[in-house]
Amino acid sequence: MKTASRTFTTIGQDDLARAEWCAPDRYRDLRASFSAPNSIVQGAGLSYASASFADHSRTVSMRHFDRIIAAELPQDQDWGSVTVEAGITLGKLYSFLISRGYVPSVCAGHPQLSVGGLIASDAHGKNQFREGNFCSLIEEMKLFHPDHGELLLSPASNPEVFELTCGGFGLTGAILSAKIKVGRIPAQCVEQEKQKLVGLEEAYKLLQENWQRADFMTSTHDFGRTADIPGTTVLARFHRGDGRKETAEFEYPKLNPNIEPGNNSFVFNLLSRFRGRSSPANSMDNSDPIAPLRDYLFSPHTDWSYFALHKDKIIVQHQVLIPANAVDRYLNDLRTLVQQGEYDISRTVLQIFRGNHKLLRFEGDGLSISFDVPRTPKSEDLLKKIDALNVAMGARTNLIKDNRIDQKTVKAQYADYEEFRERLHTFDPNRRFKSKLSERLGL
Amino acid sequence: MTSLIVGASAGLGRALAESLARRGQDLILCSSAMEDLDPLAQDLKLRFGVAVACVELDLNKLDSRSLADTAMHSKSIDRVFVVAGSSTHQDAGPVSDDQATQLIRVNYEGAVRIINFVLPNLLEHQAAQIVIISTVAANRPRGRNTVYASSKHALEFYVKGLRHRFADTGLSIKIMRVGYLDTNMGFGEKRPLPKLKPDHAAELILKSCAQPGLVAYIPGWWRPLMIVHRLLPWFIYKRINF
Ligand SMILES: Cc1cc2nc3c(=O)[nH]c(=O)nc-3n(C[C@H](O)[C@H](O)[C@H](O)COP(=O)(O)OP(=O)(O)OC[C@H]3O[C@@H](n4cnc5c(N)ncnc54)[C@H](O)[C@@H]3O)c2cc1C
Ligand SMILES: NC(=O)c1ccc[n+]([C@@H]2O[C@H](COP(=O)([O-])OP(=O)(O)OC[C@H]3O[C@@H](n4cnc5c(N)ncnc54)[C@H](OP(=O)(O)O)[C@@H]3O)[C@@H](O)[C@H]2O)c1
Repeated sequence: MKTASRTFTTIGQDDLARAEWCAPDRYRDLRASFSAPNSIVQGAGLSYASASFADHSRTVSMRHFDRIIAAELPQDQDWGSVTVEAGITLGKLYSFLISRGYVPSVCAGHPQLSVGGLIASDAHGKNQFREGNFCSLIEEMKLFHPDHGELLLSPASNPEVFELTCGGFGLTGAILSAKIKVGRIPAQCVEQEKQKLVGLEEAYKLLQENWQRADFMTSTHDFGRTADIPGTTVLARFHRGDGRKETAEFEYPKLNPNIEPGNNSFVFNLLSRFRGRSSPANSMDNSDPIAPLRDYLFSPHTDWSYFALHKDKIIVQHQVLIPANAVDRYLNDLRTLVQQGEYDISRTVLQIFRGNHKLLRFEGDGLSISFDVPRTPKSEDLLKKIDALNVAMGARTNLIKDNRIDQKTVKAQYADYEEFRERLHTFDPNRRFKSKLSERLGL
Repeated sequence: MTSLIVGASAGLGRALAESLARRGQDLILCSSAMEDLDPLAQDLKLRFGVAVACVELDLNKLDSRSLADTAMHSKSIDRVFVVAGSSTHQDAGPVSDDQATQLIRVNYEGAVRIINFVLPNLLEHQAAQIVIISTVAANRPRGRNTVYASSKHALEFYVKGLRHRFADTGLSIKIMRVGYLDTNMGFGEKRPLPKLKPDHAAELILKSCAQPGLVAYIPGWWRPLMIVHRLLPWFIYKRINF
């Protein structure tokens, strides 16, 4: 198996590692790649956290394992299934399914993300409250671990390892393939009902009251430093009766984290202002309320400036899940914190969540709030204060989107931290799979 | 149309399989491990609705069983792409006997035997085509990749012979002299000129298959470079180390 050495970085360019890597394209080579004492799998390599590389670990790219192996897509039922190799991108899967009237009912925000990455981070879509997280769609998967060989994982077969692998940051081994439950859709367009609002609490209430009326829901706000936090809530529904069909091939600008970084806070202010006005979320009042599903689900793929802000080390994203019983207090404290400290927060997205919180997964009942801050020492101070606020209120940081949180804080936020760690060490006493994320979190 | 792709599991062969399936062509895919062919076949069938069969066949150890498996499908084949290739960076000066044998078998002997095996069926079609994937390394002998390049050169020689023998039939022959590819064959190796993505190379090859002429360079800009390379006087050539 041929390997090479290269520098890895995250989409936010905030962490570097020099590591050996390979991109096998045959199964015998894939298995051989894990002969290194430590390795870690990479999907699209787009995580905000350094989850797919480490200085002394070999990164094994799954990009060539991206084929659709089986599909059952009955036209007279609501659900079907598709079995894919885990390196497949969401975009390729989506393109295949949409022309057959199906989609994965949980779609994370960019078509380039891989199915393996979505399982390992148990990603969510714009409909978490209705559909749960990505792993709720996984009926079974095949995992390769050099010391265990190939394992079939499902809630019935090796359920312990299945649970550990869902949202397990690639630390149990390489997911080779997965059988995914997919939903038949009534239309390929969505109709968006937009409501201008002032205040995060008002948006939370609106989301809670309307979830049954919407197939997808988000509320996007400009946090600013003023007392009111204006925003737009979008309740989107499949636009039944609209016969428009999407084209099968899905072209979108590819993200590449490996671009030379720059750093400019002036640019942040300028671009944030510009983005504030031009981003799809805020310009929706003027835009066509009927949009192709693809544009709605993957709106960032048309919004190149957003990624430029990450790549140029201008903004950092942060996402927190606030337990339902603490939402009002949390939002109040957050607002006070931001106003008193005169911190900058730009685009803020609210989504309601539900589900049982388990292990290190970003799941539970409550409100998810994600926002961007400029990458400055002052924002680091804000994020530290938010970490403390999270601990105090029982809120949790999304670990796959954060590149700074330390082990102590994660232990305080995630009650199951020790359980995850212990179970991982029991399954893999040699801890063969390691990343910078796992090292930072002491896993 | 049904195309046989020898060496379809990875790199250029896999890209060719996808490009052909996208055009609605049925396929027979060969390489040494079914575990790699099977998912590809499923993917192409599901996405493009074409018929795809797979044959496990190791060019290094061709046996009568794998040839018989190929024969099962050979009636329908009207185009053969011999893509499989093998090279090693140790192929500069003496290589081990095992390595030399493997290079000759995969790049020449196995390829010739497969073509020879399907030839009678190809000739039954009104129009058929044999496409071999050669290399710019076969342009002029040099001190690197010597066994590899000479095996490819020998394969070119063989198909040129077929071209002469069957000039009056509907059989056409194509030699694709391919430049550097961005595949695992040269993974991590630095090249003096850009590497071409395999899907782009596959598209150029299919375009070129429809055009007249025996030898095509992939991409086309290699042709003038190769003319100069061939014309370099020996006293200069012998000093160049590339
Ligand atoms: C533009 C953008 C939009 C996003 N939108 C959302 C969103 O809407 N919702 C959401 O929840 N998240 C979102 N994310 C986060 C994203 O879903 C996760 O970071 C995801 O893990 C990235 O997938 P990837 O293929 O790039 O994985 P990588 O970054 O390559 O890897 C992420 C983790 O997955 C593991 N992994 C990858 N493949 C495998 C495999 N085959 N087997 C085992 N482990 C594997 C890696 O080891 C690593 O730990 C977004 C990220 C970006 C950059
Ligand atoms: N890569 C370059 O830079 C470059 C440059 C010029 C020309 N070329 C030529 O282009 C062609 C394709 O190269 P590539 O880069 O795509 O190579 P690759 O990625 O290594 O793929 C080679 C293909 O050949 C098959 N193959 C190798 N040995 C085999 C064997 N013993 N039996 C059956 N199949 C075998 C492989 O299948 P299995 O291993 O699964 O059996 C695989 O499908 C080759 O002929 C090569 O010489 C390549």
